[in-house]
Amino acid sequence: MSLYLYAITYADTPLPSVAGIDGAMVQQIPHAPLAAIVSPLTHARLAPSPLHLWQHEVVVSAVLAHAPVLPVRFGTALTNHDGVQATLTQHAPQFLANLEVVRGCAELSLRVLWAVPAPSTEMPPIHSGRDYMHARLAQEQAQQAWRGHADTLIAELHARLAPLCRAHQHRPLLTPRLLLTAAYLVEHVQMHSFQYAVAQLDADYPALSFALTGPWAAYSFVQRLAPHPVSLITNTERLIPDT
Amino acid sequence: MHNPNRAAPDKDLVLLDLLDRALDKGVVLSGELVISVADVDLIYIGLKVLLTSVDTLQNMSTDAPLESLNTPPESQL
Repeated sequence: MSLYLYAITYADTPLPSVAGIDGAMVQQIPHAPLAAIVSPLTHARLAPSPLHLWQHEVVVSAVLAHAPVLPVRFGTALTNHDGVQATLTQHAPQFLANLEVVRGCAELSLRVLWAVPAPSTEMPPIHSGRDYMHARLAQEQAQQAWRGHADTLIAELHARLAPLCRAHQHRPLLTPRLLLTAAYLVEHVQMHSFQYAVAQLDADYPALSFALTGPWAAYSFVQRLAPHPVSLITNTERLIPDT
Repeated sequence: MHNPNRAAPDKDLVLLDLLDRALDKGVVLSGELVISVADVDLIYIGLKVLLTSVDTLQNMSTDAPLESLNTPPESQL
């Protein structure tokens, strides 16, 4: 029976008292100084349903409440107990270094919407090559001005949040309305200050909408260690509707 | 605790953030992958729908207590 893998943590972390995927009993496989949090998996395949995703997340969050944790990507299983220990041995230096990076921290997710429409890409009536070149130039300038405006706003927001986080990831303009999609690695002791700072930004920038979720385990700030087994969502832009 | 008064789009937003993290980020090991490739297309479609809904949210608000945001919707557990 394979073992579904939720997270890597330290061996002295208390076992979370929550159920795992499909109600399976969560176990800790220690291999000092590390431990893997696993549960037996009865199915050969697992549907990535919201229910299963939440069951994964509940276990990861329960570990996060007590200790530094490296969340494992959803859908990872190892063959057996020995396989888990071999993985812990093989990657011990990376796991230990990464646990220090996320120690005392959790991740917050921030999305910022703005209402400044992207410049139109429609061409005016073209009567000559010169018309065309003028129109293209005007479009290019409008596009650059729009992106410049976005960059300025993002820099302003970041100046207020940067002192409150240990690391960050920015993805600007994933869609024309989504000014910023960001992840922040925030120390537990700074969590309320960070949340308050976002609420202040919300008040100071009435034209923007802010959506903050978390705290999550530091999914965005851990090393992958292996290539993606299948191409899932490596390029978020692929998901953006064309309209 | 989960606040039943929260608007549906916020649940979508939290689910989107969970999908964005648990499916794409975290430690990737060369273990056995137990989600099928066929399911991957479903994830893409679902995420596309969710992203669209986030993109059109008119009033994403940070007013709600943040502690409630990560609580799974009760109907799904």
